[in-house]
Amino acid sequence: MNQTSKLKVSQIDRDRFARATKTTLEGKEILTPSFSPLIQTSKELDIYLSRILSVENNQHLGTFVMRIFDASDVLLPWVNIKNQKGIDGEAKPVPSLYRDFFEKTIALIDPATEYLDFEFHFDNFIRLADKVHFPQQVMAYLHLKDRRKKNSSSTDYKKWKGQAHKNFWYTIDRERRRLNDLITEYFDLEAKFETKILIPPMPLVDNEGLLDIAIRINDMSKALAVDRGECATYFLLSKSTLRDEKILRKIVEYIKRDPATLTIFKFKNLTLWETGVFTEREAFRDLMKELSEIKKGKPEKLFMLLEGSYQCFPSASYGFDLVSSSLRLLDIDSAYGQNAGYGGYFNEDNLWNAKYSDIPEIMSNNGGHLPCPCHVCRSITYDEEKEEIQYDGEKLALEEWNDYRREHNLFVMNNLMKMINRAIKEKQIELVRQKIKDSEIANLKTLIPKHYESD
Amino acid sequence: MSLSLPPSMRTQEEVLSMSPKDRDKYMEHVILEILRLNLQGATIPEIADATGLYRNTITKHLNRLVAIREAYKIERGAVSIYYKNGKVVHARSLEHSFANDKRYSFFRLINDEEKSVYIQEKETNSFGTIKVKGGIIIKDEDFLEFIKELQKFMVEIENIESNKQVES
Repeated sequence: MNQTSKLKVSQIDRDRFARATKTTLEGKEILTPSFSPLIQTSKELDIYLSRILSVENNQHLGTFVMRIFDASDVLLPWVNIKNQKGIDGEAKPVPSLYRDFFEKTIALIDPATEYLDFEFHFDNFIRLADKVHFPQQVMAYLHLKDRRKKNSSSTDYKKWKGQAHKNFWYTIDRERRRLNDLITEYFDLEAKFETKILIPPMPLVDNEGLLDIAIRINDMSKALAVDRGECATYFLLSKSTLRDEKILRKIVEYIKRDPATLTIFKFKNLTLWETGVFTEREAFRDLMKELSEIKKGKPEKLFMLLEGSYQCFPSASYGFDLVSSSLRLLDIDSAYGQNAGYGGYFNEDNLWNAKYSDIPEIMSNNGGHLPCPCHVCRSITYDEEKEEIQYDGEKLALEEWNDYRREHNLFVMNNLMKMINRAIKEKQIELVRQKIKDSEIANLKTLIPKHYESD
Repeated sequence: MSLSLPPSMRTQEEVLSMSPKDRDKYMEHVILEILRLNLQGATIPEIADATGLYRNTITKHLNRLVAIREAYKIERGAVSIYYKNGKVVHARSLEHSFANDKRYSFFRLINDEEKSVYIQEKETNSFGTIKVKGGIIIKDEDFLEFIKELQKFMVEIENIESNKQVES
């Protein structure tokens, strides 16, 4: 019999609808609520590594997410370095930053199959396929799309594309052997990056037919993950599913009988803080309520939200144990590094990215400092004469700022998770609602229950 | 009496669509799960009726599970009943202490009628997961005798080998 790594979840505290857990996997420990940054570049991985290996408290940052097409460029070189067993003159292993890092963190590889529908990362898939074995049927589909795009008008292409995406999944679902091949090829690829938690490839669900396929893939994945690793249940959902009660009900019913420890949700482009999404916000709150109820009966279950953006804080306080977002804390596809400007400053009090140009005003309202004790914010000053923001007395360059703010964001998210953890411990989880109410995302306060029966 | 089956069992069509390697791993996993869920034990015909798997396939997997001591077999007349090995109350692993990334895990095993020590030999496979290569169960009452015999054996081997070296 073969044994795989198992996630073990122990609930350590609970206050009404919120809970804190200690989750272990192969000796690695995650304290939830926890923030899992989505790492997209080598620079971001460097920032995350220095944060994880720093002496400061970072107990709530033990996992990170990387999209499969980034992993071959960003993570694979690190995995290879980690596996080089250097020894010194006395044949003792040489300490390695990379080994220490991998011993403390858990990587999750996101198959990012929504980009089989969206074109944004087409080139990245091509690059990935050059380096590692990538599922042939996916590559054939992507090339077909590319050819079609080049040879037809944009209206025709758009019309064709929507149907082609659905057909791709329907065809795969009809031919079980192709479906199995797709799942195992993705699992083998994820295993290359030494992840112990496997996430199956999923269609972007926007109707019941695709949801049925997603459920079948989740079921098959568990059977195919035997001997490969811990298999997560995954739902990749279009924002519009939050308007479809039947789909949400079916997902909840499935989760109730699903044996997986970890269930992952990703709602693409979820922006519940905006106006005009009242129904979606209510549905998201109801979903979190269901997840919270499931966890009461089955405390060994763990829920994770990918691409949570500004929803991360409320979600980590209620239905989800792990929340993830990019290091910009906003999950919108953008050409970072090409035409990017000075990114926003995430303010822990407002739970919002303030504009870079607002930093002088934020500082003047806060006694000349930024309202955060992290080393990045402590080094930032404003020179009124030159009217420039400075870092250690030098004008802050664009690229530097975009790296520094990522460091700051990691610090803030760890702090916010710690804050929820403390509120749970002190049985004052209602303070979370108050904090959201006082922030720029006050709209999201309705995600947190006002009255909740005490246990 | 019908057997309890794991809720995540796949249909025959789905199982047949798996690659032979995945199918083997999956079936062994399911058979072990069935033994875990049916503490009263299960026979090969019972498992075949409940799952639709061929008897030969079930026998092959059960034999392997017995060989690596994940399961054990009791003969009652002409019938063989298979059980999942007992409750592990204490476990300890010697990891990476041996050459070739071998690991040995020691378990305290409590079955209905006896207490024993269960030793598994493991290896890390290409997916980084741990595969059990073999196992041995030693009953408590036999344990000291077993260690003495093992020591005696090692002394004998050393003597024979050193004599051979002198002769050559």
